[in-house]
Amino acid sequence: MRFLAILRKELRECLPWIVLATAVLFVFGYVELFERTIPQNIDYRYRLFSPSNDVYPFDLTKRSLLAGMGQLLLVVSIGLGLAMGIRQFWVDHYAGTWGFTVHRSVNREKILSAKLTAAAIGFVVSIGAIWCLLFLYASKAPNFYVPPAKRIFFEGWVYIVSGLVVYSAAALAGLSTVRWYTTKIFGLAFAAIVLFVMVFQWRLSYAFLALLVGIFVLVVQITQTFLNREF
Amino acid sequence: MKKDGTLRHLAVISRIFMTVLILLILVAIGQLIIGEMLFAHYYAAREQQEKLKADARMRIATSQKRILPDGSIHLANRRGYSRAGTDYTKFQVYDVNDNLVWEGIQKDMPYEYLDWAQNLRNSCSDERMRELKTITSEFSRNLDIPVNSEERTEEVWRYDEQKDIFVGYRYRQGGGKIGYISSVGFTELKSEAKPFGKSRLFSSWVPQNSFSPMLLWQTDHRFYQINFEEHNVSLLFESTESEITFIRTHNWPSLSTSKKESSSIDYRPLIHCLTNDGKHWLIMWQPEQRLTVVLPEGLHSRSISATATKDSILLRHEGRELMPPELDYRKSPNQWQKYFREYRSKDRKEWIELYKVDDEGQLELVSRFDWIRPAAPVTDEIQEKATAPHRFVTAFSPPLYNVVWWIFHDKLMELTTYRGYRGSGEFVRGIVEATRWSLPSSWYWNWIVSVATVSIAFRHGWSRRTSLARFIAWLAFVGAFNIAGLLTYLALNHTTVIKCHHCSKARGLDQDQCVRCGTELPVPIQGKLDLMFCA
Repeated sequence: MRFLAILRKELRECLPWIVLATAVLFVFGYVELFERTIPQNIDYRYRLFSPSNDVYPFDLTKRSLLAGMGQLLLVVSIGLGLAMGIRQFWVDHYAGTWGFTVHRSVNREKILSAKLTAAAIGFVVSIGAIWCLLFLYASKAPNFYVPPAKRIFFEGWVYIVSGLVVYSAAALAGLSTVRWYTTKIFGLAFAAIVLFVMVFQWRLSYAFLALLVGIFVLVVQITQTFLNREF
Repeated sequence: MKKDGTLRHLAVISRIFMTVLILLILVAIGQLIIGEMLFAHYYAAREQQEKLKADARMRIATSQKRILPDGSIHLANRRGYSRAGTDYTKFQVYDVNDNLVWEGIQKDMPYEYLDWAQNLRNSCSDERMRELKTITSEFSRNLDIPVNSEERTEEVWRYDEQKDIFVGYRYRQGGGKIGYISSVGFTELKSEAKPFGKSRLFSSWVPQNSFSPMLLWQTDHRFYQINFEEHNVSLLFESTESEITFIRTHNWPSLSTSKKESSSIDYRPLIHCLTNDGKHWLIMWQPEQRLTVVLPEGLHSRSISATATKDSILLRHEGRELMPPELDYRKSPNQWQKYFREYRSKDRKEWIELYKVDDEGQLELVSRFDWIRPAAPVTDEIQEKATAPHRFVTAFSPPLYNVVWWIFHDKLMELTTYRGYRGSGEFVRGIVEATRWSLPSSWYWNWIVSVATVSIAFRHGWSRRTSLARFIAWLAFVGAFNIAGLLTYLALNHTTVIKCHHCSKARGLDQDQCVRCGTELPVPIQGKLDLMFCA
């Protein structure tokens, strides 16, 4: 019960950012997809070739219908991760309210679990659900003659999990008590390295593995710092 | 409590891993920038190379070796490039006795030389296909082959890399699947489709009287021609025993390899395959003919080119003296210097041979030309200047790199070869190449810098130590990772020190007793600091 109460409190505090991310992704994502259904975009999607000519292989490759959405999804995911990390772990520091957050009749493990659970719910319910809806629309809509490849669906989830990496990095940076010019932002630098490794992968399993290793490294440090730090 | 201990240890390891990774990357970036800036001042070898250009032996070595239909060999020496295009490039043509037989621009050349089968132009290898699948920030790309009419796209065939087949969709109102194109041809049911096999290479062109691309599709063992407009698949070549090394074509319907309109030589369409077992397969048409050629010893398989005319089938072999097999210059920077001294810095024998192939696949030597390639201009001074910047910057590389490279050298080098790369990818290859570049080229200077960093860490950590084992572990870490290790140690262990009130030496605050005299930290005297007084 106490855990649920703390969880509700965390979700309430992060709600504006979750709603904003959901709205941005839904509105702009739908507009992006709708533009793909314009007859002109459909007719000119594939190039017409002249007879008796060589063809550059690159001309035969096509970005997914959802490519524009991919950029949006990645940016929204990273933005939500930063926003939630700052809201949960930085605001209390600058407002001087860590004492109110931590000194309750609930142990610190439950408080931290509630924060992390709220972040996971925020990503899955807001961004994840919208991504599933838009992918379903692109797969079933009558105007999309060639549906997106199933792989694209999982690549979208790679982007969503990237947001969790950034969230973890922002959380670690917020909890760190060292000076900013030493190792305070190393968590964010590490997240940048993990994302860099991710975008270079062509195997989805390796991309997920890189992200999960990154999250594990960051969350272990977050847990140990949160449980033992003096607030 | 046990859980807390495990968590604490995991957190420490994670923090060290994260910090040292970031600092290794920063050190590598610094090494690259400084190394390149220092290397920019190296000009000596360029002056030497300018002198070499005037050497007649170098002219012979670098000339294009062109062969006439009667078997004669000419040496075409290009005299620079023309901005007007390749047709206006100036050439000097010599015979094998170094007599100048003609001079002028390419389009006026009076000789018609034999044309040879080439690699598929505008081809997409499996390496490129993998790059298409890289996630990036806009999702991966798909291979979509459109079937077009004169005005619009009628069908789209998408390559399914999981199943190694093509799936067809109608590209008009209503949409829907058409069927599947696979190794057995067109099928309406997915269950009937059989995979092509893992794609290695494909090339594409648009035939006459069509607006839709056709594909030449190569897998490990097969070579197909796929016509999406007619929903047709032709198996052009299959090797059941051994994988295909390369496929070259000549006078194929695709324009890039078809004969020039002005050519008087009557070529036959030809596919030239080399398989991993060293066999050369020649498949010709007009008339249809198939030959297997097994090369005699001394002929290097990859240096063979083929062509087929109405009169004869010819092979060209370009040979050179190979470096000794034990001289693996990729093994270490010292091996690279040895490679330069013992191989590149000596004259090398090279040659070209023309063979005629009979109907049994046997070779008959028609003509041969030998020459000497002069040595690369390498002196000790040039070597020194070339390697000094690298020696300087890699003195700061972790000695651990050398240990890892020495233990896993064969596996790591495998990742940088074409075969290893096919499994690993661009990213892993890049990491391995970057590590190879960072290997300390002078172990002497590397260990001096490493000892210096350990000394600094010792000086810093002696007064702050809480446990001898931990202190020694950190010193070993700093020694293994050099400057990155020292920065990591300082980032994670820099704590305040004060003067011991007993021995006046520096001491840390993480343990109660002074590390030198054993005196405990001073305890506040009751009464002097209390804000509340006890009655």
